[in-house]
Amino acid sequence: MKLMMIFSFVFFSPQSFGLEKQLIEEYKKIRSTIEDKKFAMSDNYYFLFGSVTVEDYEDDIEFIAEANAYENLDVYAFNLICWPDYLDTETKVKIFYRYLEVNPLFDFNKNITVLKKEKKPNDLINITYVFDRENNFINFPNTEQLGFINSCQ
Amino acid sequence: MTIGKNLIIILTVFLITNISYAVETKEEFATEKPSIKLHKKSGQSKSMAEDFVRKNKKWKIGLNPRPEDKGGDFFVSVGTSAIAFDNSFANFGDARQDAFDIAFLQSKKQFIKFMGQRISTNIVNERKQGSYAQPPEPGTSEMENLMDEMSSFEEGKKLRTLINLKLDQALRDAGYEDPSTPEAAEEAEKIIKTKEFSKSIEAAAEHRIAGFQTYKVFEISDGNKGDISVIGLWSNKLNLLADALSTGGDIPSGTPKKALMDQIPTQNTDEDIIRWAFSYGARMTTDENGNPSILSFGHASPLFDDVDEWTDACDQAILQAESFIAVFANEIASYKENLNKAQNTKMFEDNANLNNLKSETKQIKNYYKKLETSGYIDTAGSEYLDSIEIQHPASEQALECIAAVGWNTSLRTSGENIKNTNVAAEKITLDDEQETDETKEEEEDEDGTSYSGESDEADDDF
Repeated sequence: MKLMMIFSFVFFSPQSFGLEKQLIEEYKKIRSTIEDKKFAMSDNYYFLFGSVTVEDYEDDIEFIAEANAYENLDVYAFNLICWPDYLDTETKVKIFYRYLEVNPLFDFNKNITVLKKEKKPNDLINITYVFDRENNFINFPNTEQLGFINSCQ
Repeated sequence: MTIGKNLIIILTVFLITNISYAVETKEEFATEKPSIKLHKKSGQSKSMAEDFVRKNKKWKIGLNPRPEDKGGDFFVSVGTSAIAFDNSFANFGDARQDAFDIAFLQSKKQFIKFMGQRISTNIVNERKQGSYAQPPEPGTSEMENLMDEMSSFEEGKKLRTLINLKLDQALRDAGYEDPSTPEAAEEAEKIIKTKEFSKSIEAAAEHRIAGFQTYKVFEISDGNKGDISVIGLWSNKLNLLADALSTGGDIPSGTPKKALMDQIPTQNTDEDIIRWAFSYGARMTTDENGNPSILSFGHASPLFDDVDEWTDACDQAILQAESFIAVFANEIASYKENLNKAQNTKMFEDNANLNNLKSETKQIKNYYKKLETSGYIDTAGSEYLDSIEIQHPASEQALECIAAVGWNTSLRTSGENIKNTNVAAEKITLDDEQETDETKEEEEDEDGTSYSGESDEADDDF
């Protein structure tokens, strides 16, 4: 009987968690879009999303996925810009990366943390990374900073 | 008020104690007697496992002689690994699984050592007794006949024959033209003990691992540090079931026939919930139609307690369980295929993996990955059986979804090319050493409060 009581307690008691409550709450708000948009920003955190196809576990999966997360962030930043229609994609990309050479997205970044790692079918692994916005800042370039008139407004 | 009092008592008991757990599979196939034992010290799962083998089961670690009519000799080995989890508990399920993988690898390596010793002893004895007195000359028709005949040999005999042929060559190289003389037998004993030859024997021994599986798992945790010990077991009957699994041959008589769904724990009793918590990896069994089958369990932790996160964790656990089925089946089939093809011991030496595998998660995962995609058996069509969401007793933060997935050979769409009916299978008789011990312990000792539970009774025809 005591055994049963103990395990009833163990399995159904309220729980506390290792993650900060604030992070959990903010993650809940963005989790439905992160896989689609590959980046999300909440009040206190940046969320990056990277994927890797596992060909070989000798490779550093987290490192490769992190590199992919930064690429995804670049794409997200690229898509924020209202590009003039007369530019072809190749030119847009050149302009964009030339700008980033001088004005990187991150002034500084530290404490990137793996928030969630998910194995998907077909050997795909998705990793969600989190940065706190207190110690990190992303400078998303805007259309005017790239020297164009924002015709999307 | 009474409820409040009870809760305080429960909370006090739970918080002042540390924990150890154990789950075992009944003689070769079924799960039985999971137990949970609260313990103050960590790092002791190995001694608990060894004590269990020696004192409870009265077995030896290593070779255990058993009459042929009860299934023949069997091997028992123990492997241990620490559970490396961080304080967030977000990867608790992964950490426990990783620890199990390492401990299971250790127990396999120990089995290979024991099996290697047995092969060496058998070869030396056979030579001393003259039962290998007139080996065929290389290049003769007798040798060709032997090679042809070898495909029908029982696995152990074929393996010993190939090693003996290598030994003959080594004797000739050492100047013993006739390898059947007493002097040559004496020299053979020396050669067999050399490092190089031992490696060949261990590589060959590794190829007998099909059928090796978890018998019981012990896990101890003080809430911060923990470790897992796996008792692994190998018997001829398990090896024959592995054969049936990989070739589609007959199952050994006396194996349980029960729906896979009825072989996994229920969610109705505390004991069964504990069984879920300590069910790892894949193991062989048979379904209600007598199809050789694999039951597999996967573990994954949700990021936090939330419906969507639990859904993700359970999806992960199912994927993991499915991949273990592919790994387990392909490992069996790969060794069996090598054994079928082997015309000399080089095949074993070139394809030995386990002894060189470091006990590191990355290496093991890499090895599993290769097996999973090796395609010896198509394990597509595995069937999701059930899953459970639990809070692990080690910590209230340690959440886990555990999923059970089953697969049987009737779902196999390929692999028939290596079909080889196992004529020896039905010769193995029922092992009737059924455990009917239904004792439930609840005791206080100086290390804390101890508990043990039990699993379902084994099927009647097991």
